[in-house]
Amino acid sequence: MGAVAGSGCSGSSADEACVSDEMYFAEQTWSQVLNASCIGCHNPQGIAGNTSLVLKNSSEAGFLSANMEIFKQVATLEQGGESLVLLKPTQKVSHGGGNVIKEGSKEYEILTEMVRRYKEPSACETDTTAFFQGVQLASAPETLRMAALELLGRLPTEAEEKAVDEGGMEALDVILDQYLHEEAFYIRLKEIYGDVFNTDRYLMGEDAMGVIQSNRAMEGYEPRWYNGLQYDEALIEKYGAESWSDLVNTLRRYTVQGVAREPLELVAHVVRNDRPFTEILTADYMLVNPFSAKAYQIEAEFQNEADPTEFVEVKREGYPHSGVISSEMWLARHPTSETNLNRHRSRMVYQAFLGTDILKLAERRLDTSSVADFNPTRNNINCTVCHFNVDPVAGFFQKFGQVGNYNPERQWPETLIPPGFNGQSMVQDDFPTANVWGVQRLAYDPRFALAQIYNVLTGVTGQKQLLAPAPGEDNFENKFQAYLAQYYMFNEIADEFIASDYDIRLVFKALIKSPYFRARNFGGDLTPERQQELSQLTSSRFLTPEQLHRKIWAVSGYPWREGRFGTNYLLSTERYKLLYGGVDHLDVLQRIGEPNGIMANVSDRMANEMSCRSVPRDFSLPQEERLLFPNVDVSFEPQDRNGFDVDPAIDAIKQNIQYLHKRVLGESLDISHPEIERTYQLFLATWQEGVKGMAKAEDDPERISRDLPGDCHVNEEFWTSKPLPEEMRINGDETYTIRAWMAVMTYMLSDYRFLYQ
Amino acid sequence: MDRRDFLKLASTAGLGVAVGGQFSGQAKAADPYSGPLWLFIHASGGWDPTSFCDPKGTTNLDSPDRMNNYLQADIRDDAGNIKYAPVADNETFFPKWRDKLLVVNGIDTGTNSHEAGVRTTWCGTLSEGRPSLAALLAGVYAPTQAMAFISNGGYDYTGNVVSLTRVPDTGTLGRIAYPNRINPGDENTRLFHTDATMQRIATARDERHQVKLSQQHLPRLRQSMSTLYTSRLGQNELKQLIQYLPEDFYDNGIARQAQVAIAAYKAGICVSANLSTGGFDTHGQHDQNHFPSLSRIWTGVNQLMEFAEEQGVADKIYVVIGSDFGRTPGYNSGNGKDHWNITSMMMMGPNIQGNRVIGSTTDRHAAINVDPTTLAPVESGGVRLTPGHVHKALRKLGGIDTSEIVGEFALLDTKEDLPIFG
Repeated sequence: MGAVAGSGCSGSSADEACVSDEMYFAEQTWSQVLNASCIGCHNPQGIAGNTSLVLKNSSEAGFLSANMEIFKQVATLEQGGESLVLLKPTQKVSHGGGNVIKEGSKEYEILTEMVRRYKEPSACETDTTAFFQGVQLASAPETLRMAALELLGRLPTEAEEKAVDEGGMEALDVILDQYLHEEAFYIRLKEIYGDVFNTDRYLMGEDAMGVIQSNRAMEGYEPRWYNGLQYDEALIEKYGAESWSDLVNTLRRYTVQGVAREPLELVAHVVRNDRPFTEILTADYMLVNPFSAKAYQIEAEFQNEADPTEFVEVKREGYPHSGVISSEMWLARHPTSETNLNRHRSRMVYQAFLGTDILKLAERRLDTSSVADFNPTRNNINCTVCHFNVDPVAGFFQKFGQVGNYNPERQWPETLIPPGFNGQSMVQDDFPTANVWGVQRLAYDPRFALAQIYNVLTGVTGQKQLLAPAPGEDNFENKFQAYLAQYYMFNEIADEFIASDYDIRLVFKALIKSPYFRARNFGGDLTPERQQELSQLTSSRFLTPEQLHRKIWAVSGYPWREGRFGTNYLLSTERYKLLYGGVDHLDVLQRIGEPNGIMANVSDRMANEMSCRSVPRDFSLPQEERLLFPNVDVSFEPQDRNGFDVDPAIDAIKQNIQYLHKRVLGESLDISHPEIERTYQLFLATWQEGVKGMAKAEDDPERISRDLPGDCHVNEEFWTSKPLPEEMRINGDETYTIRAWMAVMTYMLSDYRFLYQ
Repeated sequence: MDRRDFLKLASTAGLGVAVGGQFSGQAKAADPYSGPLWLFIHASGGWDPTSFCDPKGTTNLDSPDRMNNYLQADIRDDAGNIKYAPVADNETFFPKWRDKLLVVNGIDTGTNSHEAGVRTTWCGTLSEGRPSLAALLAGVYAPTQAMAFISNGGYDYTGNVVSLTRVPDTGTLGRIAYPNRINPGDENTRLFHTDATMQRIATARDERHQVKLSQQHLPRLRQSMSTLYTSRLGQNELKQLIQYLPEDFYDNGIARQAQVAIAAYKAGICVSANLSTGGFDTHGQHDQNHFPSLSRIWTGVNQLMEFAEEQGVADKIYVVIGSDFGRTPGYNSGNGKDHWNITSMMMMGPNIQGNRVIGSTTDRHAAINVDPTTLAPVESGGVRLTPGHVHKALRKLGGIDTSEIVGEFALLDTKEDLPIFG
């Protein structure tokens, strides 16, 4: 176990006395007064929605900071030397809401103190670590392993481990930087944003071609260009195809990859080229690979025209590029209609790029059946609650059709709330490129930075950001404390993210080093209040099918798949991907975060199959090349024929168990640790059962075979299928040690520490 | 330790079974489940009750304000007390099930947001963080069964009272039902490990779990450990599912999803299932897009009940059908219908008196309040029906209204208990 979070920031009275202005605003002014007594009227749709005090809803990212600033504007207005926020609610001056706060009350005192703080800001800083006091964090080496698996799907190298063993968190920081530049990181990055955009829905089949086919008349595309090719032997050779039909299928697959993956490749491209992350919205170009370039009929230069992974920037004549949201895949994945009028796209923009679930505004009771107003989306409070936010952003997409076809002649209904953002209206001249106008504002809204922190948080921990508890909610105080701790930590990260010119790697590093990734335990029993406060704090996620697939491979050296190059069990929707809680980005968009009985069976089957695949194969290798058994050989039996312990063999077996605990489970245990002994006893009892069973008579039904099960035989090199030399072949298990080690591997591969991050 | 031994021990020790961090019931809850099966059919996107169980029609098919593209005079009355619209193959459904079917019209979901609508329809409140009724039933009656709650969509938040199971493809179940068989389909196949070794591995795993759990204090990590542990308690029962799975599945999605749930139910490992079908969010060309979706539901229910009859469990199945919300009265400029907070729900099953309609709406599909005692429509006062009322009644019907778990998720924003089921 590593550091204890919050150490040095204890809740001593001296520390408690020093409360920052923003914390005072959150804990006192917002929580006790504004949220309880004011926002009911002082919200955009409330009866005080036209006053100078219009507060933001808690569903908006960064709402506390925004409200602190909004409240300041009114608090600094005075009449007769007294602040308006004290005069109004006490009705010393006219107040539409009447006398809602009594002079001398606790609420009044809070407002008085807040006014004082606006005038004389406190020197105290917000302490985001005190909340985590007592939480035990993963050590630097443990964090290194977690980060390597999370970001790259591999184990740390020996050199990396050594560096972090010696250099601690500082060394980790350097290695994280290296990790975040490895090619495998971009795969993970695309996976994380794939769950946000869900555009990989178009990666299967030819639906991506269908989308651009439907836009063909306007754009002059040639989506299925590969179907029109003339037979050419040279092409078959160029792409390494087996036949003409194989070639066409390959070209189709590469084209689909180029078209469907465009928005996610843009995310990776921006990061790979060290550009500000805002460019995922502001990019005035699109990406094509050599094959999608043909589909779009666009001229582009490639280093290798046969490489489907090479993406280059291109511009389409007369097309208003605006990063991800002008990608036809993103637009088609979030289609619109004549009556939806891009509102769904607007909602997705709020969610992915502003960290705001706009529909939460409509989660109080509404009665649309009572609506009788003319043009209710502009005039009825049951509708305007959402539409005032949704419709202006929907206007960004006014020139895009149902599945994304761009038409600058398309008209935007004048009856709608006009296109704009944050109260700023778009002028008519900007309408043809409304999406470009929009992204210039979206990308630099403070909520954009927070939204990316939320997206990465979900990616690396499986958790959503905490929501502010509603007034009156059970355990409000504890939940609010947990919310504030995360809110201020994320605001701090957002500030650094913006200051770094939107370097998304900084967000990954900050979250990986935070308690939200590293929390491993708590030092001592939790009080009921701390139970509530820490109820959502986790560093443990049930691995997604994609992550488990990579981890199995990284740890054992072999993939879990049918044969050598067959279907990967955890990556195919026709095998276990969906059963194991994965998503298809089409019908299933929510990952299952906790296992059920079926998933437990999947993991058990995996553990058995992989122990069968990896254990005998590892033993077939020279000892110095082994990944799993560097300390033992098949001849290392724990007892001799007379049942006496063979101490050197036992020592070696335990050393290897110690090695496996670290490699498979990430546990660095002393050789005398009870867990080493538990695993050894499993090995020993299995070996004893086997030796006894093999000694039984041939006709005894309980006799155990001296051969390994057929699927576990090793006669060919795994990747090449070439026959192995006789001395490397393994079919039998005369000592029963292979099967005893298989039991150990099954035990470990089905363990909590393996199946969870 | 196998599931039953564990539960016996837990029972002897007076311990609850920790599922996902909740102490969700005593050991008796995990015996093979033999109560009723609850099937919740979700019409995804927001359906239009005026196109089936709350028909309005029009007197003038050319009127721009027409509610529907059929005449009031054509509204069908051959399903007892249940009137229905003369469209969408409705005649294949309502007359057939009229004696079992309870229709609740004029339910005010209080929202026209899809996410909130789906939530309130299936958990009874707009508030977040409340489990669906399907999850609650499974969480109370069989929290450790392998497939206690199957979801194919709709609202499937569990609140950690039970694990959620998805079964997109039954073809892969056979292979994982027997994780220790090398060839899962062959009972004489060699095993990866001897049975004794598998038992030894399981014992070591359980012992390690207990030690690690006792050392862990953070709630989420304890919850994760407990969930993995309890998910394994019922995994052997998955084998029994295989024998009940049909060789041939229906083409209809609802029926196919139901076949898996019924097979799992017969194996004693399933309490509830969300069945889902889409195509109802018909903002454009409402009739031509909406009616085929309705037909799919009718076909699905007809076929699932046919399968349940074959399996001898038809009299133990509850079917509850609902959607996000309703659709606006009349047609928009694209011949579509938009979101509307008034909707209907339909249900049938043991102890539900059929041939009844509760609640009503105006000719423009606005909700009419009901008398809280007689449920008759009232001109003033009374109660506006909400999903909360329906759920309070369903919780009572399901016998879970007084359970400890359900007490944690009380429907505080619904005050009245209405006698919807008598």
